[in-house]
Amino acid sequence: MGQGFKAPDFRQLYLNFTNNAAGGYSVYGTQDAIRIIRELNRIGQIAELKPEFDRLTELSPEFSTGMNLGAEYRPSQTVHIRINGFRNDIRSLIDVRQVATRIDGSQIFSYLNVKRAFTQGVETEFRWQLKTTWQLSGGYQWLRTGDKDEWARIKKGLEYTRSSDGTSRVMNKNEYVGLPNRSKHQAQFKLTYQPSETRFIFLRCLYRSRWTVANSNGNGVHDVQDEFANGFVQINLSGGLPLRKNLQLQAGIENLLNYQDIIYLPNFPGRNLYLTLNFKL
Amino acid sequence: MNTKFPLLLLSFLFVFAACEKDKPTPVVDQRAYSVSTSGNIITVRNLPGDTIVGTTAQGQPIGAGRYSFFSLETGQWISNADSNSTRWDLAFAGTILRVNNATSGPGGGGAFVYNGTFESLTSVPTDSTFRVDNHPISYAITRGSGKAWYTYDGPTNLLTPIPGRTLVIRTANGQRAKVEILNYYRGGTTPSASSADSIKTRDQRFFHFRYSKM
Repeated sequence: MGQGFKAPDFRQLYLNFTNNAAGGYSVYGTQDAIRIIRELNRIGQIAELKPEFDRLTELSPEFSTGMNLGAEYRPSQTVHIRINGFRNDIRSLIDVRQVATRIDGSQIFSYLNVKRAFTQGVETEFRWQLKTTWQLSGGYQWLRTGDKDEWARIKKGLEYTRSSDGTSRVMNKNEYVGLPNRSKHQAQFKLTYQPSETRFIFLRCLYRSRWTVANSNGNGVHDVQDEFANGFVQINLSGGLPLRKNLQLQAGIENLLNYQDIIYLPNFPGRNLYLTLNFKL
Repeated sequence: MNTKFPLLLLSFLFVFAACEKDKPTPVVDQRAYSVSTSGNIITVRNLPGDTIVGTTAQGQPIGAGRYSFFSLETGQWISNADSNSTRWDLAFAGTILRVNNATSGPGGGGAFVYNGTFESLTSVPTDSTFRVDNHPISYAITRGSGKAWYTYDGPTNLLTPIPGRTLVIRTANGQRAKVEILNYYRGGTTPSASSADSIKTRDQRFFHFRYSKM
């Protein structure tokens, strides 16, 4: 059991920032967001104000109550397994949301409070020391999130969706996706070969399942019929090699599969190759 | 050798399927205006409502301002020559829906929006208030994204009818009907967000709805 308190930080209140290198998206702190976006709207720079714009207000601090239950298992000297279940109940959750779109299509984000939210899930981790030089590790997280007020409406049968023939029906509970920008499944996997401090190969895979980005089917909640960003796999590979006593070469490829999503991951670079030489005096 | 068996079976199935299809079935044009009845529910497809004819100086697509008038009582698309009569109950022009009363026509029509599915509305409560149009300032069926029956998304330029919104209509002659707008695009499927603007413009303002008298 734990209790948490998080006051809005400097970034959430005051930092206004536009990333021109990556599609020109902006994040405005809540102190200025309304004023700046209204001004942009007045000079015709805004294509659309999202319903979230009307929810912008003075940010309240976030209070959370969390529960954790974990277990560890070591079947042998070389294997380590951990499992952990968690549930957090959060009052006025501070959450980043898209609040408007500029006429060039770039997004504007700010922060708002979700009155009553929850996050719950299970995390697992394992580590396996194969030999002294080889190590395999991985992890998986299953996550459910939601707005409790939305969830209450869904349970009462007050949210609707459409059947395949186009007619309306009451939404099923299992169609609710919860809070936007969160993936239900996340996994990572790492393989390490390291015979010495400077001689190594790391292989790292990350997986993130799809996440909802916009409520596109006309109802008030995020559900399976809405707009999603695709899930993806990222693979990073790096290696180190000692050349001389004081000289070390490092090389790597980040995002080997060159996964890119300009709309929903604007600051996620494509494949990136690097080579560094370290010289120790 | 064994693989030939499923192939043979498949070809039999084809012959069988072909025989089934020999019965004359009416050809349904998914993109044409049609009215069909199933039980007491009447479904109207592809009723144009002031479809796009050009663009404004600012590049906005516009229609010719031509309403389509529909009679819920007879299930017919009424001629525009009869616009000033009580022959129609609901008129369509883009996001404007009008009922036959006050500034819109000589009838005793009216409307309000019910939050709930079409099926769940079994009778009109006696204390219901039917609203009338005050063209062009306000309408019985409120215009605007998220207000009555649709949401509009600017960046994708797509209009989506809101699920679970049922229009309760009082006809020109004072009868009651419930209406659910199903889709706003020709063919009955909303174009994908990534479709070309030309498709979104060409296919919009084709109403698909179902209704039944109450």
